[in-house]
Amino acid sequence: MSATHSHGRDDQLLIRYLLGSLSEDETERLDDLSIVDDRFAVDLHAVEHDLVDAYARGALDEDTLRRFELHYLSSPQGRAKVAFARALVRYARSGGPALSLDAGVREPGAARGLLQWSLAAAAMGLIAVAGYLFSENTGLKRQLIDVRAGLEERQQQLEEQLRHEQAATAETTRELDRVRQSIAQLQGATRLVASFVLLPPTRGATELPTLSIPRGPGVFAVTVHLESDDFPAYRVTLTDPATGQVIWRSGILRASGDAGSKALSITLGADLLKPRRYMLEVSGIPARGTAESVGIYPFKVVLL
Amino acid sequence: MRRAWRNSSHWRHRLGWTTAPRAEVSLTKSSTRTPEEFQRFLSWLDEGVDSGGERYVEMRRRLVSYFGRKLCLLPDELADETLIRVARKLEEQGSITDSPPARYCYIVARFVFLEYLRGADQRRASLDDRHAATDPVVQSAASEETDRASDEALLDGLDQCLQQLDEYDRALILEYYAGEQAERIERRRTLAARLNLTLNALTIRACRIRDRLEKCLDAPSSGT
Repeated sequence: MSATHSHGRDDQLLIRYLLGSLSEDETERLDDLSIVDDRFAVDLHAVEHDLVDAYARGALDEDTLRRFELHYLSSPQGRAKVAFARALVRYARSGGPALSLDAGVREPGAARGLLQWSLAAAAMGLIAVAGYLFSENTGLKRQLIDVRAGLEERQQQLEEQLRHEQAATAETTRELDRVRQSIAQLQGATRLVASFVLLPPTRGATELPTLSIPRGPGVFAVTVHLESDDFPAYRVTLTDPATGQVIWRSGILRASGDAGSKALSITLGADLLKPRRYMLEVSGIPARGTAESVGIYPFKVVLL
Repeated sequence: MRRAWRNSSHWRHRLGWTTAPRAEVSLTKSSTRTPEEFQRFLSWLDEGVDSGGERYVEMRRRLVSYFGRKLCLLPDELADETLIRVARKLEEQGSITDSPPARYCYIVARFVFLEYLRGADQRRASLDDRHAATDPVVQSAASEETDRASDEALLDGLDQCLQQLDEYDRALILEYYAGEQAERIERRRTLAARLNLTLNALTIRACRIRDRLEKCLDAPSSGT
């Protein structure tokens, strides 16, 4: 990621803002600018795209990568942007159709010239038409009056049609509300309330990852990053280390993501966990033979 | 504008309604009851320069990003709630003169965010004694569902969405985001010069095309 731009854009500051690394006061100042200041909003928008692209290309340095995965990827919005960036990178690398902007259909300079000529031609045409009309006889004027009357009638018809469509739209809106209420009732139990990323434990790590989960119904998503992707399929088991009890076991999972950054995605019920330590064990399932453990991810849960 | 408000799919698209149906319902029902009210709201946001709805779309995008950065679960809904409150205030008072429109939107957004935080606390308090059992079968199914989006499907969807752009926009977006990070700045300067644009104008254009692609990829018809 570049650090500065010709007009003084501080990319590093914007990146730290996007990754939640700034102080509260500084964050609030930039929150304000992100809504109020047009230039800042454009810069932030552009830097966010480049940041996500850099992640998708594996071009982030270690610290930024860690902050990105802990903060930015914890929101569904962030993950969706990453998925898009990965697709864009892959599309570019796969050699998408080469297109020439020079031979493009909309060269701005050329378009402006064409527009000027068009306007000049239109102005000449208007002058000619005005002169013609000026010298026309009353019969032609009557014809114009007839045309106008026809247009007014058509206008009335269209307005009537619009009134009918507006009434139909209002009814559709009410129906949509009813359907949404029904869906909301059905989905209450599976509402996504939080999402987390678990990285492979590193030697010397002193703090357990903490999952802060809202109490109550709903589900939360966990992205479990793998150290390596050596198996065609995986299974994840959630255990209470204090009792050895298996709390939950996943179905067959497949790793997703770029080479070198493979991960498993699981979804757990928020009601499943209590405020204590847990252990996620990832087992690799070979094409033949028995499953073997490939990683243990301890973490603690805090209920909010 | 009145006719467009009622009927034009083009206008609805420009307002972002085709990709945010919730916003459409909220704004038409709760915020602005008539096309005239909606027009007044757009005019106020435009501050005297008719942007053709662009200013509204941009403000909504900024608000969605703001709530997203705050890690709110439903940033789209909170952005709509903010705009609804602003529009309602405008109707009640007839005008808002103590702050420029963008700053007033930010002030309201902060209140909406604080209420969101308080609401989360209340939900937690009322659900303290709740401990329903969770069906492991449902959990397995959910994890399978989360796992379903494959890279290939996403790539196909992107290809389809790129085909929907005109040739100029397609070439611009691919050129703008081409190359490795280190070479991009120079590459973009060259591109801007070729297109007779300032770098800032090129950035704005590329960001807008990218936003359109992201929305297109979110749409059910893109197959993702």
